[in-house]
Amino acid sequence: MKSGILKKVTAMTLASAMALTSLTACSGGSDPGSDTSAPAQSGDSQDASEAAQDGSEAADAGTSGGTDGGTIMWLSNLSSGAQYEAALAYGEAVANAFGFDFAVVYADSFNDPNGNLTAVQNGMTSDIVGIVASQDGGIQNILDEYPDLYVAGYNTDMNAIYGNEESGGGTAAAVMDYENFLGTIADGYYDGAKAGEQYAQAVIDKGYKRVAVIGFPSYAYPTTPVADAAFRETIEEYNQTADEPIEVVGDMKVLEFAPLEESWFLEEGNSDLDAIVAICAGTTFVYPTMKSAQANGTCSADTKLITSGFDSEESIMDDIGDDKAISYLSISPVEDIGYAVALVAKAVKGELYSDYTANERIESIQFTIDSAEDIAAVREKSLLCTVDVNNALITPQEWVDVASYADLKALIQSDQSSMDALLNK
Amino acid sequence: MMVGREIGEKYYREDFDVSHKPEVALEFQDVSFGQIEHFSLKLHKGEIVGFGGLSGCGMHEIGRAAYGIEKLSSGKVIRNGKEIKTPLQAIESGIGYISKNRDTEALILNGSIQDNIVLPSLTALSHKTFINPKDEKAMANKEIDAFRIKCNSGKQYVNTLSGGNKQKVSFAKWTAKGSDVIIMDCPTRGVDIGVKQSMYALIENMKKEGKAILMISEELSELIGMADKLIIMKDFKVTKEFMRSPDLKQTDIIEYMI
Amino acid sequence: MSEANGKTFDLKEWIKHHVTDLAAYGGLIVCLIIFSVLPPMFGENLWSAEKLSTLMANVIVTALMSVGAVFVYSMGHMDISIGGQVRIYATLMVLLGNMTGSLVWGIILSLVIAIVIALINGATGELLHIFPVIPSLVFMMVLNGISSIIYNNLGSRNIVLRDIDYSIFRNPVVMVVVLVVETLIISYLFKFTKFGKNAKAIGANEVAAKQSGINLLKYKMISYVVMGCCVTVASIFQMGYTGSASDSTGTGFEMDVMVALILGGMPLSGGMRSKVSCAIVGAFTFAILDVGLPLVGITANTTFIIKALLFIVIVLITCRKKGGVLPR
Repeated sequence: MKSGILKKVTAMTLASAMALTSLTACSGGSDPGSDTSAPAQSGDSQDASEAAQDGSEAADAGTSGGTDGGTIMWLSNLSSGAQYEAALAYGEAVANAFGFDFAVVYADSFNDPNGNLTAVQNGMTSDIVGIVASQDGGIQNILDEYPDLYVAGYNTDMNAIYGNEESGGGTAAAVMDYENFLGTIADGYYDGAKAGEQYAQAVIDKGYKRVAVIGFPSYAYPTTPVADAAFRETIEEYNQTADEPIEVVGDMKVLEFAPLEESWFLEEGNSDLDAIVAICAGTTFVYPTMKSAQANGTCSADTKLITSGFDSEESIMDDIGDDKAISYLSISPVEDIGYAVALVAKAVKGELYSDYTANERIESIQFTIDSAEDIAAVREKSLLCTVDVNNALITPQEWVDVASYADLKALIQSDQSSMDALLNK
Repeated sequence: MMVGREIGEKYYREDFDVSHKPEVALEFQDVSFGQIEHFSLKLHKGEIVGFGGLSGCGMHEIGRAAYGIEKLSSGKVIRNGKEIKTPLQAIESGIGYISKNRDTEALILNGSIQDNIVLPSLTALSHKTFINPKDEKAMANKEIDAFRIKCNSGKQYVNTLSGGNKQKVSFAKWTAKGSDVIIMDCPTRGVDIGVKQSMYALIENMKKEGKAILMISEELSELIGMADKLIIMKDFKVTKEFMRSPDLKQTDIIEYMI
Repeated sequence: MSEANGKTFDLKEWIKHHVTDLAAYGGLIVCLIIFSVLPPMFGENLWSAEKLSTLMANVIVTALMSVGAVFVYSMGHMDISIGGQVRIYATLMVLLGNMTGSLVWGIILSLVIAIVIALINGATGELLHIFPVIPSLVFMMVLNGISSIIYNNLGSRNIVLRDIDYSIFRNPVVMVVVLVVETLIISYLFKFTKFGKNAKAIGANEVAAKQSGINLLKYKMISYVVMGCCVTVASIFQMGYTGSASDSTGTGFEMDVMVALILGGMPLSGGMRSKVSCAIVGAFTFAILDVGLPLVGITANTTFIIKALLFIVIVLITCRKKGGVLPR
C-alpha cells in the first residue's frame, strides 16, 4: 500500500511539472492574424501580467496621484512579445498618470465576438471602468452587456463598426451611435489604398524594378486586396512617365496563415526579384522562407523584403537596413495606446474635451525603418524595443496635459512620434 | 466437513431416465464453420446433451454456434422454425448462453449483481421505455434467493463474489429471462463442491421442467453423471455418441477423445 | 439472503466505490466555498446577479454538450467531431437566419445533419471494426474544411445575425430551464430505460453485453444520436449568445467536454459507474474556476495552469484501474 501512495505522489509531481512547463511554453503564443504581432515566443507575459496586477505600485514614469479612479482593461490581441510588453507597460503608465489601474485580458485569436465577450466577462471585476480594445469582434455585445463602460480602440481599424459590406464589415455599425464608444486609432492606415500607395512609393524610391506581392487572405483582412490594387495602380501611374518601368510579377500570392513555401521561388520570375512586398506579417510569414531560399540558391541573394510589423528577434533586427534583407519596415508606434487610454480616462472622469464631437477612426503615424541608422535607433532608444517607458516619445504626463481633442489627435499624429524624432533623441 | 452443510444428499443425477419430450428445442442442420463440417444434432425439450473432449476439439465452438456467435459457412441453426444467426436472435427465441470465460464474457465484473441478472431481460421489463427499479430489484432478488447467492444485496458488485457465486449469477440471467434452452460451457469450472452440488440439482430440475440443455464440459465425470446423451469430439469431428447408462465408464470414453 | 457483515465494512466499501464521486463533488464544493469566501476580500462577489449570469453563460454550452456526451462516453467511446459540428451548426443557423429571417430552418437542418453524423459515427465503428474515434476524426477534418470554404467564400471571418432578435438565448433563466429540462430527459433515458443501461453495459464489457443480447449496432447509434441532439441544442446557445458564428467557433469543444466529464468524475472508459451528474458537476466546476479566478486577481494565463493542475489531480484519482484509461 505504501509504495502505491509513493508512486502516485511521484507520478502527480512529475505530471504537474510536465503540465506546467508545457503550458507556460504554449501559453505565450500570439495571434498570427495581427499585422504587427511578434511571432509566437514563450513570453515574459507572466511577469508582465503580474506587473499589470501590481499596478497600484507607482509605475516607472512617475505618476500623478493615486490610482483609485478604477481600472482600465485592455482587451489585447497579443499575449507576448516586445510589442505586447511595451504596450502593456506604457498603457499602464499612462493609465496611472490619469489615476487609473491597468489590467489585461486576452482577446479571441479569431476575433470571434463570442470569444471576445467571454474574455471580457470572465475578467470583469467591479473596479473596471473602461476598456481599450484591440479587436472589433463583439464590441457591440460588450457595450450592450456593460453599458456603463467606455470603450476605445487601439491598434485596430474597427472594420466591424466603421466598414461596410464591401469591406467585409459594418455589422456593428450601430455602435457608432453608442455614447460610450469613443472611436479608435488604427494600426497605421485603415484605408488599404493608402497602405498600398505607401509601399509603392517605397519601391519607387528604392529603385526596384521587379517586384512581387504577397498578402493575407481577404476574408480575414478585407483591406489587403484594396492595398494590392492601389499598389499596382500607383506603380502603373509611375510607369507612364518613367524611363525604366517597374514590373509587378504575377498576382498577389495569398498566404492562408501558413508561411510561404519555398517552392514559390521556383515559379517563373520569382527567383530574381528586386523586392517582395509583403502585405502581411512579413517577418514571420515570408522572411524565414526567403532566407532559406537564398541559402539554397532558389532565391537571389539580392532580393529584399518590404513589409510591416515588428519582430524583436535579434537575428531579424540585425537583418534590417540598407543592404540587409529587410530594406523597409513600417510599424505603428506603441505610443498609440496612450491615445486610447487618454480618451477612456477622460470620458470616465466626465472630462471629455470640449471639441470632442463624435467617435472617430484615426490613423496612426508610421515608423518607417529603412536604414541601418533607423533600426539602431529603434533598438537602442525606442519604447518598443527597450520596454522602458522613459524612452517613450510621448510621456504619460503629456497625455494628461492635453487640453483639446484636436491636440490629442495631433499629439499622436505629429512628428513627435515619428522616426525622425526617434533618431534625434 | 468441508462445506457448511451436509452432502448427504445426492451429487449427480441418480436416475437413468433418458426420455425427453418429442419436440425439438434446437437443431443443427448440416452446420459447417471454421474447421467443423457437416455437424447435425437435434436437441429436444427436457433433454441434456453433453459434449466432451480435449481442449481444442471443437466442442466450445459448437456451443458458440448454437448461440449465433459463430458465422456459419453452410447449414443452419434452427429454433422454432427460425434461423439463429446472432445472439440477439438466440435470446429472443429463448436460448441462454453461459460462456466458459466467466469473467470476460459471461459477466460484467464492474457491474452489480442486479444489473447483470436483469440485463438480458431489459426489454421485457420496459413499460413504454420506463424500467421501474423496483421491478429490477424484485427480479434480481428472486434469483438471488432461488440460487442462494451469498451477497449483501443485489447492489453488490460481481467482482467481489466468489467463483461459485459468480457462476450462479450467470445462470440467474437465464432463469430470470425464462430461457428454455440453456447452453452451458464448463458450468462448474472453478466452483466449490457445495456449489457444484446445487448446480447439478438445478440442472436436473431444469430437465424435469422440460428445458433443453447443452452441456459442454471438460470434466468427464460430470458428463457421465448428468448427460442423457454424450457426444465426444476430437479434432473438430464427432467421434462417438454415448447414451446415459450406469455402466458407462471414463475408460470407455477416453479412447475416443485422444 | 445472507446478512451484512456490519456497518463499518459498508462505509469503507462505500468510500472505495465512490472515490471518484467524492473527488468530483468535493472539487465542486471546494471551489464553491473558495469562491464564495475569497472574492469579497477583494471587493468582488461571485453571487452577484451579474457574475451568476456570466457563470451561466460560461457553463451552458459545455454543460448541454456534456450531458449528452455521457451516453457516448459511457460506452467508452469519444466523439471529437463536436467542435466542428458546433461550428457548422452555428454558421448554418446564422446564414439561414439571415436568409430566411428565422432561426427555425437553421436549427432543423443542423439537427438533421447531427443525426446523420451520429448514425455514421455509431455505425461505422461497429460495422467496420474500427475505433469509433476514427470516423469522428474524419468528420472533424471534413467539417473544419467545409467551414473554411464557407468563410472563405463569405469573405469574412465571422458572420452575424441581422434583424433577428436572439435575446432569448442570452437570458440566464432560459439557460437554466433548458439545462434542467435536458438533464432531466437525458437522466431519465440514462437511468430508467434500456438505452442508458445498454450503453453502460457496452462500455463495461462489450462482449458480455453482446452475449446478453444487446444489439451493439443499434444502441451505439442511438447513443450517438442522443449526443448529437444535445450538441445541436448547445449550438443554438453558442450562436445565440452573440448572434454570431465564426471560423473558430467550437474550437476545442471536444476537449472541454472531456475535461468537464473528467472533473465530474466520469470514468473515461465508461461502464456502469457512468452518471449524468458527472457532466453537470464537471461543467460547473470548470465554469466556476473560469469566472471565479479573475475575481481573486488571477490573470488569464495562470487560470489556465490552475485548471490544468486540477485536471491532473482528478485524473490521477479517477484512473486507478487496469483496463484502459483513454476512451476508445
